[in-house]
Amino acid sequence: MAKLRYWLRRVQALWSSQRVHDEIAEEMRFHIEERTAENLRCGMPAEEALREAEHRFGHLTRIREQGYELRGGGWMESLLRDLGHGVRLLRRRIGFTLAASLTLALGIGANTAVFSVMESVLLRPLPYEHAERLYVVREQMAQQDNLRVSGPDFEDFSQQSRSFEFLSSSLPYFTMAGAVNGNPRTFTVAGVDEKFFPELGVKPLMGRMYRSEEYHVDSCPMVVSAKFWREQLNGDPHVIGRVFQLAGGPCEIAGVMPDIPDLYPNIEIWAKMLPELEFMHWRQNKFLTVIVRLKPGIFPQQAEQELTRILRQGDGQAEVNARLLPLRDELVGKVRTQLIILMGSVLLVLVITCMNMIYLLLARMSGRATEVAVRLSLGARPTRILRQLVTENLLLVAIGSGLGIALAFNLVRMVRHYNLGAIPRGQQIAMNGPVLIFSMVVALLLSIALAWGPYTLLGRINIQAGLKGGNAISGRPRYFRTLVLSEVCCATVLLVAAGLLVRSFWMVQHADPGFTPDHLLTAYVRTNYYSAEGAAYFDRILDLVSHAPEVQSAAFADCYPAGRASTATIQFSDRPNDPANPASVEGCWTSTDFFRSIGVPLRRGRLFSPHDNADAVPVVIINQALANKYWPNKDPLGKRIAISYLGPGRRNTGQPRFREIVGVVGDVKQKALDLPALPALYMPFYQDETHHVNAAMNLFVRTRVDPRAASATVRQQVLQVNREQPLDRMQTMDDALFATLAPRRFSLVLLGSFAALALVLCAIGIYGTIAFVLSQRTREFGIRIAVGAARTDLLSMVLKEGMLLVGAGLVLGGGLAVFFGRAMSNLLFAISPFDPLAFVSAVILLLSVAAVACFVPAWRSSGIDPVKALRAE
Amino acid sequence: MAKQKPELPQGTLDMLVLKALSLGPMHGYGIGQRIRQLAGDMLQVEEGTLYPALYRIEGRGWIESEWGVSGNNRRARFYRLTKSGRKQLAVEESQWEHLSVAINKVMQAT
Repeated sequence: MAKLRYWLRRVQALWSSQRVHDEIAEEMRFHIEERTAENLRCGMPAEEALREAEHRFGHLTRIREQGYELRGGGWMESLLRDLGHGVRLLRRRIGFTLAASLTLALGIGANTAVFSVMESVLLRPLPYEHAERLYVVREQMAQQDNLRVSGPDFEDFSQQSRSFEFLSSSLPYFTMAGAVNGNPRTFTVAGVDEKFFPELGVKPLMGRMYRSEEYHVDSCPMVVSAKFWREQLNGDPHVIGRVFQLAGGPCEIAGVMPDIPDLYPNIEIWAKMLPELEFMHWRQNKFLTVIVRLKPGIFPQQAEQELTRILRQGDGQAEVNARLLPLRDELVGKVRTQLIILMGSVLLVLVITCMNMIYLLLARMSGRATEVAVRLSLGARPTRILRQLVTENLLLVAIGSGLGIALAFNLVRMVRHYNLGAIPRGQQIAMNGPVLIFSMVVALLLSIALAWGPYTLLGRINIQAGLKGGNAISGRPRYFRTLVLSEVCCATVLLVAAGLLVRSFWMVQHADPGFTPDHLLTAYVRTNYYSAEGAAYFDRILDLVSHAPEVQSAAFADCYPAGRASTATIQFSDRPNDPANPASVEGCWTSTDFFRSIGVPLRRGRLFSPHDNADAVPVVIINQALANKYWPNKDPLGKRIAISYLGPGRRNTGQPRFREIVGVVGDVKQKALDLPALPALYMPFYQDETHHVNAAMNLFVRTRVDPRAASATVRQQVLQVNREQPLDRMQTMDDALFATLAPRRFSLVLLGSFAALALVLCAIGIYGTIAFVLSQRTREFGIRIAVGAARTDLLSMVLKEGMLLVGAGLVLGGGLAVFFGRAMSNLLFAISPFDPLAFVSAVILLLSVAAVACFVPAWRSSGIDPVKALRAE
Repeated sequence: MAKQKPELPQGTLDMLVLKALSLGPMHGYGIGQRIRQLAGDMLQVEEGTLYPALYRIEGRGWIESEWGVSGNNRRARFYRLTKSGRKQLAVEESQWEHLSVAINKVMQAT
């Protein structure tokens, strides 16, 4: 307690130091007066009494100083004074301060931002109860990994398994048509079962979730999401009981659930999974997302084995395996490599930043070497000077950190707001505690690195030389070699990485998608027709739309090129079929003019014609990949296959009927531009034997004019058929393809920026280093010129030394770049990690920039006047 | 006057100061006087060592100081023993006991 008071007093002394001095003086004076009085009482004469009293004190000034040391501000005061000095110094050299702070801010800010994204997406646990025990169940069969779960399988799991606290099934991202406040819309819906929300520990925001018995009734009321409530109903506080239009009829709202953006972002309606629906009984129909929560103490492998055993009891599932994937991995696994590579890159940028900072400060320190030499010779303690120099550096780091964190905050906000890169869990990206700690650690490490500069400086001070006004630093710091070497190395790695991404991106953009995306307008048409009347409806739309003057042709299909396609299994008529291991391909129901509308070339046979309707012979068109896989070097035309089309909502007549292959078309990249085209087949939707036509189809319109200009007409035509038809996601195919490349573009832009930044910093570092080292050698150059060396001799000497270092850095960097490239191979497309073009262009770019950075200072120093150089002692 | 006053080691001076203050708060001059009186004039603390000792002990939190009025109505800085100071005094006393007994034993060996 007393100690606390003592320290408080010392803090007070920070702004009333004069008072402390006065008090100590007064205390001494009191003592002297008392002693003098005593002496007088003993009979000493007056002046001797005073003198004797003072004499006993000895070195009064010393004692007063000691007193102040213990009572005054102490180290706090000298710290404040150093800070004050530092601020004044920085203000005087505002250019240097700006350059240094910006460099630091960029380094710290970029790192903090990237780490922030990484932390939010990869490291932060999911915000659900016991999220570490949540897993997704997938099935694995023959060549197919990563299958979902069917209704009967899920039933078996629920009844027989003992490993889980919860099992839930859900079906996210299907659609339903309806209207709110008279505006027709397509809603994004997720079907969930009773256990879904309790498993996650999520409770309703308002109203209630469905009751147990409601999960067996296909009717309203419905539970909506917070997103729906905010956007469609404006956050109406009386939302419960409000009615909107859904699937053709009125529907009232029973509850509002909070959004779960980590798992299923952008859901508007939470619908019920109805176990009674037909397609839920079909064991081969694997479309359910099953999320489970392990009981504590049970290992995932145990649970996997149990589920596999249960699965294999099902018909035809003797070779099926179950797999458990941690839920978080399932959600973010595909961006893990991308984010780790970005983090690695930005750390390299930080290294370069740090090196440049050290160089900047060292160069400045050398300028003050004379000042330091003088102070040392006057008796200043080295530690005191060191402390002052370090404080100045810390001030810079503090300013840079502050700016850097502000920068990072804005970058992170931008990424979240504009959904840059379409990163999963993107809405959760934010800077938080751990991220700030990270940037403080970075700042701390930088400070330590920057403190090293003054420390070595003090060790090298040559006081004699400094006092005489000459070069106060002895020896040439070997540090500068390390600087050039490491900066060039890091810059090489970044340039190569950026080059690899640029090449990949170029390859993806120029990869043949298999169809013609320009002049193509697309939209999503969601109807409420679930049977053959849908065909007539779609036909009416096609009729009107294709007769518009801007339109060349139009078609419907349930698949979306470079987007998604459903799965179908084939039974062959010309070879034995293994029911446990059926051939699985991509499948698409289309209208007659599909291939013409999206521009897929015909390779053999014919395309669909208007004669291929419900009464005609059932036909199918396959793609080249399918033909090559199952009829290599043979003619597939005329062969017959039976197709089972999978997915939710399908019906099953029991025995699929055989269709005749009438044509072979070119391969279309069905799932993504950077995935290979898989075997696929197409069927006219008029010939669906289950008398089910998809209620939702994608409309493809090939336009004669700019597709954006035609969109109003198309919409008008559709609304003419049905005024209440919602028409969603109307976009040109080019825009759609552009959006699918968002993650690639994100990495490319970031890595490219880092590489550019690294190049600039590296150039500055090399230039500065060479200029600085040469400035130390002015005398030497003066002598050389005086004894007859030509300018070009000096030039080539300097350049040789410099470029040798750069070369060494390039080689080292090239080696590291190989490892970096290998680590990145998931992100590359159609090129190898050793792509020569990327490596060579990186090397050439760096060499030319480095050469210029070496040349300029060398040219300037080699042209000095020898007389002036020799005179500058 | 005894010019051969023994040199007090630093730790011992601290102990004496604490002991002097255990008899009541006092200003710096008075502490020196008190020690001299208690030692029966066998000890005299130099001002040059007293004040640094006082300031140092204050830094350790064993004594506190504040302004007060002296016997003859003058402003002086008074020092006072704190709770931890009292504890420290007891510790140092027992250490001194132990040490002096040990040293005596050695010196009395024949």
